[in-house]
Formats: sequence, structure tokens, C-alpha cells
Amino acid sequence: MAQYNCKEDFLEAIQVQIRCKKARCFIIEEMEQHIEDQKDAYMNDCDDDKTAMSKACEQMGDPVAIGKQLDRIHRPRMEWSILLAVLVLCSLGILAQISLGNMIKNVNLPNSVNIEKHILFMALGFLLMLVAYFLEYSFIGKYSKILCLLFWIGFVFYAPLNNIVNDSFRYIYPYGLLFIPIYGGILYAYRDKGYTGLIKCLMISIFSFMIELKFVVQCSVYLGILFSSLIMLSIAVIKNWFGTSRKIAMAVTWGWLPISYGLLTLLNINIFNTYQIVRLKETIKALLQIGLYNHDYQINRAINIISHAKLFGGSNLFNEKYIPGFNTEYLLTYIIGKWGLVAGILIIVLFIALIGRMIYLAYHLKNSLGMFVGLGCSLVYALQGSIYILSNLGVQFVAQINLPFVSYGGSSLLINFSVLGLMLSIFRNTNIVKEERYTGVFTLRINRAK
Amino acid sequence: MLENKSLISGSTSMLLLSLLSEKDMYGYEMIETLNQRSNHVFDLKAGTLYPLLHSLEEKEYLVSYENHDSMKPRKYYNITGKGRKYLKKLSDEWNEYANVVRGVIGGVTFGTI
Repeated sequence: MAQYNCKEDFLEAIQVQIRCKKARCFIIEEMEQHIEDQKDAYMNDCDDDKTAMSKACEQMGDPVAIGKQLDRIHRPRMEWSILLAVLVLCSLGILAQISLGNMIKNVNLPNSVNIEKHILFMALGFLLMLVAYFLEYSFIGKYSKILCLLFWIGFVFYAPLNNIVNDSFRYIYPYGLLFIPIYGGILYAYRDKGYTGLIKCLMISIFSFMIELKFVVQCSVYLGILFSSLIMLSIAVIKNWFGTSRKIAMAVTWGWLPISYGLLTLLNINIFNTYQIVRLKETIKALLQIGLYNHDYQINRAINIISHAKLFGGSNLFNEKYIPGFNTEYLLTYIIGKWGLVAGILIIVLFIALIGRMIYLAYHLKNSLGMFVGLGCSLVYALQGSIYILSNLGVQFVAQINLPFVSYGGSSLLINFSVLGLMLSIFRNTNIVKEERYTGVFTLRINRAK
Repeated sequence: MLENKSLISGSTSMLLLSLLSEKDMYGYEMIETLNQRSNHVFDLKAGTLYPLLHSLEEKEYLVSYENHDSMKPRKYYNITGKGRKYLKKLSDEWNEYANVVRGVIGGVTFGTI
């Protein structure tokens, strides 16, 4: 083993063995602290500075061996289980689209399935995923407030550019989902800020809800986004993120809902659009009066298809029961009708397992920013998945949206793949990003190798 | 002094987890404490300690945090619930092994019925 008399040479010998540049700095910092402690101990034993340093380096062991062992531990990691599950879902989506295209041809209906476009958007989405994967996700922590502001401004300007269907921006909702991971960065920025931080986080959540309320047509989506952000806020409270009393903070997080509802009703203030109020009232009616909307075409068809489905294989009645939106909002119903209940249940189980795995991994991340943003990304899929599955099972009070990675829908595919890339980037960097707090404007600094 | 160092290397994880089950420590402190308590038998090298600590952290048996309160900023390690369970498992295995060895080579055997 070579003799190292100088700390810098010793640390350099370790550093060159560690291939991941991001991991180098915090490893070297820890080694340096150790050498300094060891050197001080030798100096207390009456060694001079130079001898003490030389002995301290010798006591450390072989730097090349240390570097190699640490290199094996601190490597970027791909979370293959998640990527694989998504690829399976994508393949199933393509198969279902092809089969649906053939069915439409056979029953002489106007073809609404564009498989080439579906695959093109999937490929574009995959590219976006790769870009997000190789991006350093810490920018969400650094610039969370700026990102949130840009999101709001973007939303207000982007929404009117969308296709207007039935006087509403029907396809804007995937963009709105991006708020949830950004909110992870917002929470991160308010660490140890007490009740002020909690209130600010809550206000940001409510303000975003108010903006989305004006443009997103699907009530279950904007309410879902609000509840997702409140769930994330609750997790922050449980983890004592703000340094406040958990009970009071939890009461503030959820208590404003009934209070503000009472106040708005008392003062007769409408924050909803007229159609949204009608829709909400009808939703409540539908919940109380089962069978009120028995004449809803799509829901009835979906219920009919599912109730006549076999365990394996397609039902004989199925070909006559085409539903508009089979390739998008009712693809799961199509799969159940075409290939049987077991096929549909398998997709639901796969999707739930994927979300469960995402939440589990995100919740157990060591890096707090990664944990919050990762949970936000998981909730993006959990929200869409639960709305989609419920609407396909004929539940009336949820909106009809796309199933991530499976349904046809350009913006949905692009947004969902981007969020996936962000999530994989978080898992990739879990062992190599050092979390550090400092008192500047930004709360996270990623140490880069010199 | 122990002649056969392999007796130590196999149980280093257990020793480190055991130290950390008492209180949070930084790397140098662990080496010093281990050295003193073992009457200078366990003279662990930093080169052995850190890869082991980082690997235990990766497996979620430990979590680390920076402590900037003292004069020198230091990285402290804290044992997790999972780490405590793992420590118990390692200790049980070790005791079982030690009992069997004692049974073979002779001596007092504790903990049997």
C-alpha cells in the first residue's frame, strides 16, 4: 500500500475510485472529518502536525479499497420494477387499441382509434421520461416557489388554448396534475417554519385549487388535486416537518374545509362556476338517489358490459355494445368485455401494485425532498387510477378521464411519462444526493464534485 | 489480543449496531468506543467502518444526519426500528453459535434447558 502523508492525496485516492460524481463530495467530507479527529488524537499524544497527519492517514486503511467498496454502494440505481410495470401497462394499452380498432372496423362504425398517433405520443412520452430521468430533480426543491408561480401563470395562459368541448376545457386536467409534485417542493421549502409555514403551504394549496377550479371541468379531478395536496400536508405534519403541535396542525390542515364552506354559504359567495354548482348538486342527488341517472348512456353501457362479462373471454353481446370513449375513458370496460373479468382485474391489480410500490418507495426515501416529490408523483397516478377505475365500474359521481399509460390521449401520456421520469430520477439518486439545509433563499444544496 | 481476526470481522455489524442502540454516534467515536470497551482488542480501521456503515444505511438499518451544533460539523448515525430488529437477530444467532461452540469445546453453557 502506498504511503500517504497528506490528507489531500489520501482523499484524492478515494475519490477517483467513486464513479458517481454526486456521491463523492459527502463521502470525502465524512472521511476528512474522521482524519481530522484522528490527527487531533495523535497530536494530543504529543506527535507533531506532520507525523500526526501521516499516522492518521495510515490508520484509515487502504484508500483504493475504501473507494472501491463505497463505489459499489453509491451508484445511481434504476427502479426496474416500476419501469417494467409501466411498460407492461403500455403494451396492454397498445394491444387493446389494436383490438378496438379491428372491432370498430367490423361493426362499421366511424374509426375513432388512431393507433399510430397513440404509439407516437407514447414514444414522445418515453423521450420526455428520459429527459426528466437524467435531470437533477433537486431543482424542484431549489425553485419550488418559482415553479409553482410558473405553473399558475402557465395554467391561466395555457387553458384557453385548449380544445373547448361543451363550453369547457375538457383536456386541461393532465396539466393540472403537475401541481401535486411541485407541491412536494413547496412543502420541503417550509421545513421548521412553524405555523407560518403551515399556513403558507395551506394557502398555496387553496390558491391553486381556486385557479384549477376555474378551468378544470372534472370536479373529481380538481377536488382530487386539492385532497392530494392536503394528504401531503398531513404527512408533513405527521413527520413534524413544521415543528408545530401535530394535533393543532392537523386540525388547521383539515378544519378550514367545513369552516370555509359554512362561511361561504352564510355570506352567499359562490366560488364555483354555475355549471359546477349544478354538477355538484346533481352528484349529491345521484349519491342519495340510487338509479337517478339510469338513462346515462355511457354509464349504463359500461354497467351492462361488465354485468354480462365472462370470467375469461368475450361476451357474445359485446360487439353490439360500443361505447364512445372506448379507447380513452372506457378502455378498461372494453378490456373486461373483450377478454373477460379476469383480464380487467389483472390490470387493476397491476395498477394498484404499481402505485403501492411507488408510495412505499417514496415514503421510505432518506432524502426529504425526494420523499415529498416522490409522494406527489405517486399521488398523481393514485388519483387518476382511482377515478378511472370507479368511473369504469359505473360509479356516477366521478369524472371520465384517461388511465395513465393505457388509454389513448396525447397530453395525458406526455404528462404521465414526464412525472414517471421525475419519479425514477428521485429513486435513481436516492443514495447519491446529500440533503443539506442552509439558511439562504433555497433550502437544498446538492454538493457537486470539485 | 485475538489471534484470529476473522472472529471480529464477521460480527462487526452487530457490534456497531449494538453501540448505536445506546446512542447516536459519529464514525470516529464508534472506533474509539469500541476500542476502549474491548480493551484495545477491537481496533477497527476507518476503511472497514465506513463502507459497513454506508451499507447498513442503504439497507435502512441506520439513518444519518449532520450535526452542526458542535464545534466541528459531524455526520451522526442513528439506529432505526428495522436496525434494532436486525441487531436482535444477529445477537440471537451469535448467542446460539457461541453456545454450540462452548458445548463442543467444553465450558459453561448458558441459556439451554
